[in-house]
Amino acid sequence: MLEFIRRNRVLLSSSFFLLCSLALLSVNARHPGRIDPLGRAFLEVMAPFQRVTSTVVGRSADLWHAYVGLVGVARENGRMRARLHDLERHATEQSELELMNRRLKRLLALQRRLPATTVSAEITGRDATAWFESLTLNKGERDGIQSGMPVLAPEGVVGIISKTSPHASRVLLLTDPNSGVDVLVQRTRVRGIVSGLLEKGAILKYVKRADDVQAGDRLVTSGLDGIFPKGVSVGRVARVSRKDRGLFLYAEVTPTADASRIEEVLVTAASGAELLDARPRPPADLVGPPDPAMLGLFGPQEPAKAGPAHPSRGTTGARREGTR
Amino acid sequence: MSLSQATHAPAAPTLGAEVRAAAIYALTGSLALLLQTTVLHTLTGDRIIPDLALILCVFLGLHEHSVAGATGAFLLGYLLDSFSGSLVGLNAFAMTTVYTLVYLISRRLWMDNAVSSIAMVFLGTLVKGIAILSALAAYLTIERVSLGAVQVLLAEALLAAALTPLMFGFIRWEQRVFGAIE
Repeated sequence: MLEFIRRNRVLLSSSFFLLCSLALLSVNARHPGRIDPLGRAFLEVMAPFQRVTSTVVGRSADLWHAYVGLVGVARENGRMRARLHDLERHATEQSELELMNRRLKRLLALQRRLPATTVSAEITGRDATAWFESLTLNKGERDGIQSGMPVLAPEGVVGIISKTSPHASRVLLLTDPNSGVDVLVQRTRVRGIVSGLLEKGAILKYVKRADDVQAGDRLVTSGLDGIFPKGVSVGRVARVSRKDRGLFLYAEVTPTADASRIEEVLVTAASGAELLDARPRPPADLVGPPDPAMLGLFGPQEPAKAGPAHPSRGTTGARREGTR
Repeated sequence: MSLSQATHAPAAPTLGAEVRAAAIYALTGSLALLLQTTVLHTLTGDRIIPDLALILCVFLGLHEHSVAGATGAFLLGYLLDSFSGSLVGLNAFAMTTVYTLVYLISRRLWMDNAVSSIAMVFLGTLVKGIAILSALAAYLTIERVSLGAVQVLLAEALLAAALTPLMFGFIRWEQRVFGAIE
């Protein structure tokens, strides 16, 4: 018996770990994050390294753009080149500051419209694989961030917090295949679920073939999932197909907040109802003119042409959607 | 066990050598994850991320035929789970599957050359993709796998295969520098 175990110890240990993985999967598929003994520790330990690497990569990219394009000019005159590089560096820094200022101003405007506790955070890392869509933020539980909180950008919905550690947190993006946001087609008030695809992008699910949905339609949150406030911009319908057999139509969605371009986000502790109450309040104390993109976050209120579709359908949040 | 190992059975490694080897794999795994979550996104434009952690897992399957090797593969997957998607256990399951498969193949076939390592990484990426899709289909609401997902999987496998000599070379260099191998 002992000889059998000794000879097959690798296979036996592999089988044991496969069973452990399946057990973790089973539990976490039903109750996300319920059993994750090491996840928090890994996130916390890796967060500072991610932050440093992100900063170094960002600075290197800036240097690359600022200097490499000027190699031809540099050959003409050494003195002029040094001067030019210096000015270029200043200009890059200046424009970076200007862009950052603009982004932060929009974020501040959004923050002022949200009544509850909000935390602005920077993105320090992205998903480790090509299969899923998530981000790592530089703020965590110490800053008041908790699992399940909605994450917004001035352009619209980004995702929800899926995991936290004291100094970092992870966001499950709208475009992840495991996420789902309850939405309304703004023009016709038809309800559906926006979910991510394995091959990138997002689709609108559970909309009946007969419902009025067209390419270009704007999608906004319904507020019924209890996570996101009602009326926040989610995306636009890019293509609608009714060719496949079945009850539902197939609609591709382009999210309004492009996660690959976002650098800062806002995490809010507010429930959907609280945020909804705050919507009419204008950003009066905003420094400078209001940003049109910011004003578009909650989308113009178009009149409904049809009543709310699927009144009997239950509330579906991102986390609920992800599990059976 | 590879042929070389079968004919020239190595002496049992000392505790110090085992600790050094474990530290090297932990360091490589963390570095791979750091690159996958930051630099590689910038270089590849978010479309396809080469799975360096999987290359390390295949290395473990080829060269670490022990309980520690299997543990390493599981922990590597778990580490990846902490920075990918929302379902804990998915990558741990896929990585352990890949490790087991590579281990079983390397026990029967000659695997101590660059071409077979590249082939194993290519195969490993495909197996990992299939394992993830199967688990998603079993536990979540993935209704269909489109051609786009298959294309992403193939591109990822090719990219990982192309990076195999570099990654294997780096691990061997680490082992030499830290004295984990002669």
